[in-house]
Formats: sequence, C-alpha cells, structure tokens
Amino acid sequence: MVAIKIRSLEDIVKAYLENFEFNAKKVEQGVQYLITNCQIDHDNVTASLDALLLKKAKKIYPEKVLSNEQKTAMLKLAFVLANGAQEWKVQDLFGSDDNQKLFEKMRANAVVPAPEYVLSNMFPQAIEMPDNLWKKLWGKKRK
Amino acid sequence: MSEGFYKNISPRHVLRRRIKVFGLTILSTFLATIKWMEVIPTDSTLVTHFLMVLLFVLTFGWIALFFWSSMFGFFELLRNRKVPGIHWVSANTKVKTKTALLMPVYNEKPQSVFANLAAMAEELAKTGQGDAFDVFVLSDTTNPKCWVEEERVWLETKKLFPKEVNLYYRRRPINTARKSGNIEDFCKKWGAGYDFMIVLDADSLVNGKTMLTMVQLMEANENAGIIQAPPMCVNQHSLFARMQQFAGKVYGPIVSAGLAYWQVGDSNYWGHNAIIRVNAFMQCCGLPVLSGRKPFGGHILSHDFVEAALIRRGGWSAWLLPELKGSYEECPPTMIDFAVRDRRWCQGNMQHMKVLISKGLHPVSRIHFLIGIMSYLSSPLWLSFLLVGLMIALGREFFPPVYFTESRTLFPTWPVFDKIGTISLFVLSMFMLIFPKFLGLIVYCLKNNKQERKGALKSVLIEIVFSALMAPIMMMFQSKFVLDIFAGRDSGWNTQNRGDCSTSFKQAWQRHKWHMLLGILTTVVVWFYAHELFWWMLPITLGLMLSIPISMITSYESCGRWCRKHNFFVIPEEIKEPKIIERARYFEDVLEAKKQSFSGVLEVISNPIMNALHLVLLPINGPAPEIAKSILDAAQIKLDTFINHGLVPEFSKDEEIALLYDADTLREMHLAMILAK
Repeated sequence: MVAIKIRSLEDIVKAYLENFEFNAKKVEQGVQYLITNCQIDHDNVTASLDALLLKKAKKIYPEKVLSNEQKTAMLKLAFVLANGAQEWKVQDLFGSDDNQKLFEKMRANAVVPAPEYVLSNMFPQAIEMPDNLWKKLWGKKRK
Repeated sequence: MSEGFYKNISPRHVLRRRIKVFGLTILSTFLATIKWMEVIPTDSTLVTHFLMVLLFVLTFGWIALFFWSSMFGFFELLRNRKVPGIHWVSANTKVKTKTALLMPVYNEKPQSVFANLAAMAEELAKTGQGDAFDVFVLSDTTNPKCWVEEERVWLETKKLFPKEVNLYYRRRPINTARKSGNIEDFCKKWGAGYDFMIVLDADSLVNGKTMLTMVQLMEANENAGIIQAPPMCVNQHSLFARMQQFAGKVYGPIVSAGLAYWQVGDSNYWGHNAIIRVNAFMQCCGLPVLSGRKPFGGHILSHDFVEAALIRRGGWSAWLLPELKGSYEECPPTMIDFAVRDRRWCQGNMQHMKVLISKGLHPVSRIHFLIGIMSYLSSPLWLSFLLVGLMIALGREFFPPVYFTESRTLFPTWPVFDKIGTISLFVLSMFMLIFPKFLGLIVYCLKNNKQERKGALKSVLIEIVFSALMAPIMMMFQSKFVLDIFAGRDSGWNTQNRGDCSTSFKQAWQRHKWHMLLGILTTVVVWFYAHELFWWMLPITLGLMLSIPISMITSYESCGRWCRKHNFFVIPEEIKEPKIIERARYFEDVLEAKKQSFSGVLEVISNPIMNALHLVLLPINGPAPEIAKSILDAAQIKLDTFINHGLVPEFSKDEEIALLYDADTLREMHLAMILAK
C-alpha cells in the first residue's frame, strides 16, 4: 500500500468529510462530533469511518446483495448525487439516529448498475457436418 | 416449411419467388457461358480453357444474382408492396412485453455511444411506451481510460434519460467470444427477464417509432425469431463516406427489397439494428467454438449469419423488412478504414465455409453463407480471371501461333478471336452491374421531392466512375485478405474508426504502394506485349495506378463538404435532418462538455463521485484479471509520486488496470489526494 504522509487525526477526518461535499462549517462541526462521539482507530481512520458509514448503509439498503465495501460506496455516492451535504449534517450520516427522510432520499438516489440476475442457460449448438458426408459424396462411386 | 409459418401467403408462393430469381440467374449465366465458350481464343490450352469457363461461371453468376434480385426489388418498390407473410399491426397497439436494447461496446468513444442511446430513449419515451424498454450498455472495453470514462458518462447520461427508461451498464473483464460472447453473457444473466432484445452497434441509431413497430411485429408474429431493419448510413462527411451514404440511399432500397423478395421469412441477420426473440435465441443460438486453429477454427467471428441460420433451423422465421425506416448507422470514413473492417468481415465469412455444410440448415441459410463467402472470394476469382486472360495474350506474344502443323493441310490454322462476341459479353456484364443503379435512381426520384432529387443523376454518374476506379483497389485488398486467411493469419480485434479523419500520404503509401506498382507494371507489360488489351485493362490499371491519390482525396472531409455544397452525394437526411440525429448530436455536445482534466485511475482518485461510483461498479466488472503483484507495486509507487510530488505518471495498460481493480488503494489514494491538496 502506498504511504500516506503522516497527518493528524483531525486532518484525516476532515479530508474524509470533504468527500461528501460538506461546507467548511459543517466539516468543522463534523470533525468535532466524530472525534468526541465515535470510536475511531487512530491507526486506521478511514476504515473506522467506513465502518460507521457501513452501519448506516446496511440500514438503508437491507435488501441489496452487495459487499460491505460496495454498500458503503453506494451510500457515499447517493449522498453526493442527492446533494445531501446541503440538507443534512455529519451527525445525520454517521450518528446512530435513523433519519427516515435521509433514508428515503438515499434509496431514491442509489445507483443501480444492472438489475438482479435472472440466471439461465444457453448451450452451444451443434454445428457439424452431416454423418458420413464423405461416404455420401464418394462412397457410392466406389461401389 | 412448417405449417402456419407465414401469415398470408402459401409456401408455394414463396417457392415460386425463389424459382424466378434463381431460375433467371442460372439461365442467364448458362446462356452467357455458352457465348463465352465461343469467344475464348481457340489457341488456348485445355487447362486455360477450363479455367476461363469455370471463373466466368462463378463471376458472371455472381453478377447475375445481384442483377435479378435487384430487378425484382425494383418492381416490388414500384408496386409499393410490403413483404408478404408477416402480419402488420396498427401503430397504436399497446405492447405487453419487455424489451432490452443492447449496446455492446469495445473501446468506443463513450460520449457518442451514450448520446445515441439518450436520443433513442427520448424517442421511446415520446411513443408513450418507454416503460416497455430497458437499455443495457454491455462493455468489453479493455482500455482503462476508456473504461473509467464509460462509467462517468453512464452516470451523466442517466440524468439525461427519461424516467421511464432504465439505463444499465456492465463491463466484462475478459472478452470471451467478442460481441457474440458479450450478448450471450447478457442472455445468461438477464435474458430470462426479457421477451425481446434489440441489438445495436456502437454507431446505431434507431427511431423510437421504428423500435416500437419492431416490438409490435414480434408480438403479432409469434413465429418470428428475428426482424432486421436495414440500416442507412448517415452522419459522415468525407468524400468516401458520402459516396457510401449516397449509394446506400439510392441503390440500397432495391437491393434490400430484392433480398426480401426471395428470402421472405428465411432472411439474414446483419448483427445490429435488429430485434430478436430472446427465448428463441437462447434456445437455438448458443455458438460453439469451431474445431481447428484460427482463422478457420476458434470462436465464430461473423456470428450474425450463423445465429440467423441457427434460429431458422430451430423453426423460427427471420425477416428483413425494408419497410422499417429510421434505422441508421455510420460507414467507415476512409477507404483504408473500410478495408480494415473488410479484413475482419472477410475472415468471418471465410470461417462460414465450415458452417455451410453443417446438419439441418435451411437451404436459404446456406445460400446466405454462400453469398457472404462469394462477396470476398469473388475478388481473387476476378483477379485470377484477369490473370488467365492476360497470360493467354502474353502466351500468344511469346509463343506465336502455329499456322501450319506437321500434318499437311490445305489451309493454315488461324487462331480465332471473336472480338464482337467478347465486346458484347463485356457490355452485358457492365449493363448488369450498372443498370440496377439507374433503377435505384428511378425509385429514389419517385419517392423523394424536388429538392432531395437535386443533383442525384450527376451524383450517380460520378459514383459509377469512382466505384469503377476503386473496384480494382478493393479487389486487390480482398484478394490479399483471402490469401492471408488461407495462410492462417488472424485479423485480431481492433476498434473501428468511426470519426472523420483523413488519410495521410504516409498511410496511403503504406497501404497502396503495391497496388500502385502492380498497376504501373501491368500497364507497361500490356503496352509492350499485349497491346490489344491495353484499353480493356485501363479501367483496372488506372484505378491501381491512382490508388494513393484516390485513397487520400476520398478521405478528405473538405472534399466531402465541397461535394455537399455543389449538390453531389446529398442524401435527404442532410436536407431535413431526422430529429433523432439532431438530438444525438446535442446530447454528445452535452456529454463532451463534462470531460474531466484527469482520466483513468487519476480521475478515480481525484474525483469523489468517480471514486465512489467506480467502487460501486467494481463487482459488476467481474473478478479482477490475474495481474502480477510486481505490476501493482510499480503502479502504486507511480501513484505515490503523483500525489506527493505532482508528477503525472504514465501507467502501462496493465498497471492502470491493476490499480482500477484494487479497491483499497483507490480509497486510500483518494483520501491522500484530498490531504495533499
């Protein structure tokens, strides 16, 4: 893995929140909220924040058969596409309270690349010469 | 022919149509061959005599089939008759089925592809039945920059799409069996959810109403497996492309109508702009890997013909319906691009030699294969025909005829050469080639208004001159392709050049130098040793000698625009542009305006939306291909240098692909980018 230059916890959390297009004020408040209210592993800040987001993503998209990483990414994307940073605060996204309005909006903005699979088979067809073709063509003459 | 196969005609009626076309083809070839046998110089050897007759039968028969098919097509169009045997329905019929529009892509320009889809979706929504359609972009893209761009443009296009039409995207990491494998992959994963699929090409545009009609026809004709809407070439500006577009517009209708006349429900499928019944396709059209080595063995390249034959073998009908207007595509902009595409098609058609004799195929399906094979094989046949003729003439120069043989005779043995007979056969062949073009012009003039007809006659005359000059060049290209294929050389899979771009002297020299030298050499030889053939050979030798300037001049957009200004090769679609083409161009401009400063992996790590989007789409891209860890390590170091020192890295394709499949690195690097800012 590529080395990220050593930064303070605040810097990393701030950078993480900027992803969601929160304004500077909301980012400042969010950083304070996350550092004081949430358990963040100082050695792996991104993973800690992703884990918080995953909890929320699982509640929002319970029916989707997706990997954890994909569910987290889906929530991030939906939040940005829905301009969520203008309507909600960091607490709404990372906190334990469930904001139904947020949930609905995130579901509506979920990016679906393709519908669920409806698996079925398609077998290779036989493309072959007729039986005894050469016999048919030449055999009679030999007789 | 199964019971109830046709809606309103009897199988005997269909048989009568075929007897007319093929009977006249055989009869005219037979009569011309008898004449030809009379005009072959009497001093030629038995072997050359046999070769001349055989080559004549094959090449003349080919022209005769085209001629008679076009003649019947002409009369069908004059009488305004629809293809019989299929049940037509009212345009207002509400459809009850679900159709998928499939757009398979391979390293194409995403903005153009998605713009076309947005225009088609908009048209579908206008029909009021847009909710009966879903659109799938099935990517086989291998270029990492193009891959990321496809993802971004997909997201942008979703915003332009009408709400009732879904736009989906999936990418295959491994392109098994190319386009046919791509479609098969769709069928296996999602096919069961759809009744029909409309297969498109990257440059396809089909009117909403036309697509709806195709679905309505499929619903009303439960026996129909495939309905093909003949595509019309549009949107290109080079002189070469303009001539193709014009030829397609003027001559295309009688060719299509002629084919539909005798093919009826046993038609062919051209690989795109066609609707297919999904369950019939899945039941009958799984393609095997042909035994033996490439180019004859391996995956089937020209899968469309084979799929049509297999679906027909399964008891379903296949229709070519010239009545379906509003189906468009783009033709290659230059002669070289045309030849590159032809190389691929040539290999696909030669591969059909293996399929041609396979069990259970309908005789008409076998004829489709033969026509495909002959459309390429006819070039080396023509070349051989010319060479044998030249050899006879040269032989006479170097081995003068023996007037008095050893056995004593009263009179000398004069070699007989029937000049009048030869000229009449030549005129007949030219007539059969050129006359259908004028029939096409008559239909074109009858069906278009005064403004659209302007310049049509002079365009046809110039087109005939240009096509005569280009024919020997294409003959040389195709002869080489056939030889290459028989020598076991594979064509590979290259993206087709679709944008206008002129041919440089260097490119033209590389491609045509042998054509030019052969033209000069033949002219010199003929001038000195077979002078009587000089003027006969000139249309061929002139085209070859001028191959470089012809290839260059016809590739210029400026020449094409000059022609447009002076009413040469103008098609009605340029005078009154169809709405769908106009909208596609508008959407392309909108999507082009959203291009990012970074591309590929740099875009994914610098743009938060792209970072999240790429991670969401990663599983749909399938499992990562196996790439050595050392490649990923090297790529990560380059990325690190970029983030910390701002040096824009140059990744190899494998490095970029490895990074794009490494979700952890992409997440970390995105954060590092924000921190670095």
